Amino acid sequence: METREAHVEHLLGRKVRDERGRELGRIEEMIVEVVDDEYVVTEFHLGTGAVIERITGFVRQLPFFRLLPGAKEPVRVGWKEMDLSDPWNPVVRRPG
Amino acid sequence: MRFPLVAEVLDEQLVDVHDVKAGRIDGIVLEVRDGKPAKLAYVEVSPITMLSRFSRRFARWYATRIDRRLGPGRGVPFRIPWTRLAREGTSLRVDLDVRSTPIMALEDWLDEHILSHIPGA
Amino acid sequence: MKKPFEVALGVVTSVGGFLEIGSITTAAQAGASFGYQLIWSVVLGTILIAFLVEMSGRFAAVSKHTIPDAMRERFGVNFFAIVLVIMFGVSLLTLGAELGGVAAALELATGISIPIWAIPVTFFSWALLWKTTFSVIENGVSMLGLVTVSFAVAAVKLHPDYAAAAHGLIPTLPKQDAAHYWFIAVSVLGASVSPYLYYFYSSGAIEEKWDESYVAINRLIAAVGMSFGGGLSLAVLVAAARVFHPANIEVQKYQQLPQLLSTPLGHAGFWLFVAALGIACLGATLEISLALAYLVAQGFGWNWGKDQRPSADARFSLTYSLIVAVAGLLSLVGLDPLQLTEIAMALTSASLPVGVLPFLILMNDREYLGEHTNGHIGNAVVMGVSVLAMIVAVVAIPLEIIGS
Repeated sequence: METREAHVEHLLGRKVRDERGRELGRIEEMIVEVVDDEYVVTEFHLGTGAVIERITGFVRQLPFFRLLPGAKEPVRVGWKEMDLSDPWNPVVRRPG
Repeated sequence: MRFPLVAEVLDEQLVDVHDVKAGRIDGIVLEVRDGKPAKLAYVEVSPITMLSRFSRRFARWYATRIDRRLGPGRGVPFRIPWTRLAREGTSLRVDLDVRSTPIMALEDWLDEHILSHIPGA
Repeated sequence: MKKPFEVALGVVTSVGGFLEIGSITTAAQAGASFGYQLIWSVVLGTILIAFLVEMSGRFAAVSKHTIPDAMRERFGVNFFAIVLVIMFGVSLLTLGAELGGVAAALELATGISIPIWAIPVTFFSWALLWKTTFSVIENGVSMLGLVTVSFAVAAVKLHPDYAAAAHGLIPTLPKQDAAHYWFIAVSVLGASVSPYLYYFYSSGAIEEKWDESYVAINRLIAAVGMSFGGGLSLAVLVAAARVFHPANIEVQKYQQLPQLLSTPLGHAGFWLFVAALGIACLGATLEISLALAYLVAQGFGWNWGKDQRPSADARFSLTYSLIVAVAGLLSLVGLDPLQLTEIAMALTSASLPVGVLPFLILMNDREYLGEHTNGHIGNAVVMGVSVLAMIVAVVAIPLEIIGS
C-alpha cells in the first residue's frame, strides 16, 4: 500500500476542483475522528476562501451584521471522495 | 470523538511535561493512504514550517542558512508523533521534556552566545 | 480580602499610567488651537479605551488566554502576521516618541540636548526591564506617575470657564482650519486608544493569574481608572486652552509645554512638569516594550513572563532588549519627539481597526468567553468609533501634510 504525506497547513486554503475541473471551493477545515484506534481525517469542509471567510463568518455572528449577504454553509466532502494524490491540487471524485 | 483540525490543533500552544511552553503547532503531517482515510501522523514545531506557510522558498533558505546553525537536530522541522500528544483544555500537552528536544535550540544558543555575557541574566 | 487592595492598585496604576507624551501633546495642541471645542474627542477616546481595557481584562480572566495568544490560535499565523507587523511598526514609533519624551524632560531640566540623553535613557529603561519584576514596574512607576495629578491642580487654578468647557462635550464643526481640527481629533483618539495598552493589559491579567471571579473588579478598575486618567487629559486640554489659546499660540515645540504648569504654579510648576513628563514617558516606555515582546513571544508560543530571570526566557528578554534599542535610535538620530508623537498618534488612529476588529471578534466568541461575551452596546461603540476614526484619519492626515 502506497503512503504519502500531506501537510494540513498547506492544504488549508487550497483550491479543490472536481473531475471536470470545476472549482468547488477552498479547504477550510478538516474533521478528525477515531477509527480503529487511529486518528483519521473523515471530512473536508470547503468554502469561499480561507482567512477572510473565517473572519467575516465570525462577524456575521454579531447581531446587526446578519444582514450581510453571503453566509453559505460549507461544502462537506467525505474522505472517500477527496483525492489527495497530489496534495497541491486536491480533486473531488464523486462516484457515478 | 470528533474535532476540527484547523480550529483546535493547528497554531495551538504546546506545553511539555513540566508545564513549560514548547512553541506552537506550526504544521500537521497526514499520512495519505490508498483506500483508507488520511491518518494524523505528526505535528511539526519549527520556524521552518511556520515560514513555509508564507513562502516555501524562504523557508528552505532559512532552514539551510540559519536554522541548521542553531544546533543538533535543527535545519529540518522537528516532528512529534501524534500519539505523544494529549488535548488538555485549551492547549496540547506533549509527553516530552522540551529541553531534550531541538525546539529550545535558539533559546540555548542565545543563552550561550549572548546572555552569558550580560550581567544580571 | 486581597481584592479591595487590588482594585485600588489597579485604579492607581491606570491613573498614573494614563498620561504619556501622546496624550499630553495631543491634548495640549487641542486646547491651544481650538480652546474647549475638542473636549468631546478626549471624552470619546476615554470611553473607548475604558471599553477596550474592560474587554481585555474580561477576556484574559475568563478564557485564560492573552489577546495575541488567541489571535494566532483563532485566525492562524498568516493573519496574525499582518496584525503583528502593523501593530509592531506603529507601536515602535510610539515607543520612540516616549523615549524621546524622557530625553526631552531631561533636556528641559539640564539644558543638555536630547540626542545626548538618548543612549543613557535607553540603557536605563532596558536595565529596569532586565533587573526588576513586573509588579515593581507596574506599581512603582505608576505610583510615581501620580505626579501628573498636578495637571488637574493647574487646570483648576487657571479658572476655566466651566460652562464653555461643558459646551465642548458636544462635537461641533470648526469655524476654520477644518483639516487641522480633525487631524487633532483623530490624534487625540490615537493617543487614548493605543492598542498596546489593552494588549498589555491582557498579558498583565494572565501574569496576575486572574480568573472569572475578577470580572467585576476588572470592570471597576477599567471604568474608574480610565475615567480618572481621562480626567487628567482633560485637565491638560483645559490648561492649554487657558494658557495658549487666548494668545493664539499653537503648540509646536515641546519646550512650550512646561508653561501648562508653570503659568499657574510658578517655578514649582516647571519642575512638576519635568517630573510628570519624564516619569509618564518612562512608564509608557516600559509598558510598550513589554507589550511588543509579549506580542511576539505569545504569537510564537515561547515561554514569557516578566517575573522570571532573563535567562529563563532568553528569546523574550532579548526581544524587548532589541525593541528598546531600536526605538532609542530614533532619538539618537535627532528626531523631534513632538513630531514623532504626532506621526505615531495619527498612524495609530489610521490603523485602529487592524488591532480592534479581530479583538472584537474574539470578544464575541463563546468558545473563549462562554456567557461573558460582549453585549450589543460594547460591540457597537467600539466598532463604530474605530471605523470612524480610521476614515477620518485617512482623510485628515494627507490634508494636514499638504497644509503644513
